[in-house]
Amino acid sequence: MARKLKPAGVDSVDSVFTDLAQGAFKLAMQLLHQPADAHDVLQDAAAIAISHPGAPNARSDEFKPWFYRVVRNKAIDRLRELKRKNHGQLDEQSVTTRERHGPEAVLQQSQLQQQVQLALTKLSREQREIILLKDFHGFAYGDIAQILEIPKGTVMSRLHRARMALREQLIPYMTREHHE
Amino acid sequence: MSKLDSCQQVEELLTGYLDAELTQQESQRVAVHIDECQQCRQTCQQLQQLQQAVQEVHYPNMEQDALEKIVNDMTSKTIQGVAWFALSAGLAMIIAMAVYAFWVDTGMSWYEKLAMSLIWGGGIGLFVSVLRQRLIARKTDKYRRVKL
Repeated sequence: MARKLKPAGVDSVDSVFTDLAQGAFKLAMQLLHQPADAHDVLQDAAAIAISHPGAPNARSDEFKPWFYRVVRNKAIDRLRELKRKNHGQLDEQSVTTRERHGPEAVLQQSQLQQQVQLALTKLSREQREIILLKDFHGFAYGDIAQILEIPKGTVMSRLHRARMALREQLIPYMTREHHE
Repeated sequence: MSKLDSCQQVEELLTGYLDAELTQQESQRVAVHIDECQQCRQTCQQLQQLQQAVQEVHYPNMEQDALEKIVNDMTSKTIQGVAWFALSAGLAMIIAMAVYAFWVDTGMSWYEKLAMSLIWGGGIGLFVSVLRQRLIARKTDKYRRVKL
């Protein structure tokens, strides 16, 4: 197999870091909708990851949820900052972002996925983030509890309410697809 | 047990069932229920369909240049951290040695030593207070991100 062309150590460290950073960037995008803001948030989070005395070892399993928690908290700080400046006009930005990332990105997705993406932007931030952390980023409930700083026991009920809210918005569409 | 009660009890577990986060016993309870209850089965299928759709939603990657910039910044910041530590430790040692040498030097009378200490102490105090103000302003300045 021509998969490993570089020495194993270098390749794996690079790709692990790249995947982590890209995933964290997407989380920031999902919360903030703007690439420039998401980039700033990631940069701040990376600086904290280096300097924070309580940061877990970058190679340990605890690092990913810890880093996502930092990114999420930084993104929420940024959201508050933006809300103060724009008096809460964030929904318009999310639509602009969808357009900016182009028709080619949208075309790759099924109609349901497009509807889902749109419906996600209409959920509250709390509902959107828990759905995305589970279904998009693939975290287990224990990790989600750590990222959101909530008890593990409340993850399932909160996630369920969020999914039901998402379903509520998409029921007409889902029924139609079912019959087609 | 009425069917409605059972649906209510099972509903929230549907999410845990789909995520394989239930105990074996709970999971079995849900499996038995959705086998019998058409409504809950449909909810479960819809949630599964949504789960799949969310999993496949496209979000853009960070541009390679931006990612590289962050990696470079991280490397520089680590080096800067080590360098600042070395510099501060070195200066602290020199200052400690200078203060020690100054006070054990018997060539000066005690009031000369006191006057010199006050002048130096005052100067350093002023420097530290200005530095502190600047650092606080830098951290809390709301116009810091404004690009001119």
